[in-house]
Amino acid sequence: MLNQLDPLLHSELRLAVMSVLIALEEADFLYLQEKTGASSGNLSIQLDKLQHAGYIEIEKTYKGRKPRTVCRITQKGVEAFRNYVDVIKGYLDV
Amino acid sequence: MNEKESLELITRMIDNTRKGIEKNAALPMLIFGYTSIVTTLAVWLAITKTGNYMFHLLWIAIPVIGWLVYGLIGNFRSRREGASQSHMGSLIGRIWIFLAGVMMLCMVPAFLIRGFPASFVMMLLAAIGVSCSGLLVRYAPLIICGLLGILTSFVQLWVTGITSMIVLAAGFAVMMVLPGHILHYAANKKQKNNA
Repeated sequence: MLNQLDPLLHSELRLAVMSVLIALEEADFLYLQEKTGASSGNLSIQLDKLQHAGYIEIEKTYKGRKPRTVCRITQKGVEAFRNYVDVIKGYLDV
Repeated sequence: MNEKESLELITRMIDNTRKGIEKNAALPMLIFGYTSIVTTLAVWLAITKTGNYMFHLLWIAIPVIGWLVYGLIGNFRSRREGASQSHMGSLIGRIWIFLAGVMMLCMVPAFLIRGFPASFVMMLLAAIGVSCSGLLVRYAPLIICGLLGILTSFVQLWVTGITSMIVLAAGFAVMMVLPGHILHYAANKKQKNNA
């Protein structure tokens, strides 16, 4: 029997964010927005959900006078992402 | 979103992120490569014209101007496209900071010991840095240009005096500017093909 897909990752924007962060050490909000093409509001909501699940950590800093939000994937996030990819491959028999 | 679309999305996002990393990797090579060439030629010209070896102090321009220009361009880019740091980029950055520190340290005996092969040491360290970066990102032009730099650095042991600066400038062109342009061209080509 096939495993259930993680509902938190099975959303286009959240999965896109996790796919970007898995390839990086860290990325700021603007970078994620640029890569995913999401609106600020939507991206902010999805980042909060990923943070609450413990998949990413968010650090709010300042660059000069401007606020800067830096996101990093956590170990739990890496494991969840790997598990998600494995389940998908199982579904597609890849 | 079905499973196939999910997998396609993951592949596309990771691929796009990696292409961005490749494109950004060319920038420090080009900035520090050109800064090193201009500084080397400036030191060579100044010493040839004046005979004053204190012009060796101009070497400090490589890290100062290099980091300044790199910082300004990086700042401009991050305001427009946002900023990111890859694991590999961070590792390569630490290697280069370490090598730059050793290079600066090598300038001390260059002032104190007559005949110290400073050009050889500088070029060898820079070439090792290029080769290590190439090996880490598994990029053949970087590895090859780095190895060419290592081989050219040994020429410095036979080329004595101020002429060795010319070999050093040529070495910087081969091991930093050339692979930087190759990397930049390849990254741009990939992006155009995807567009």
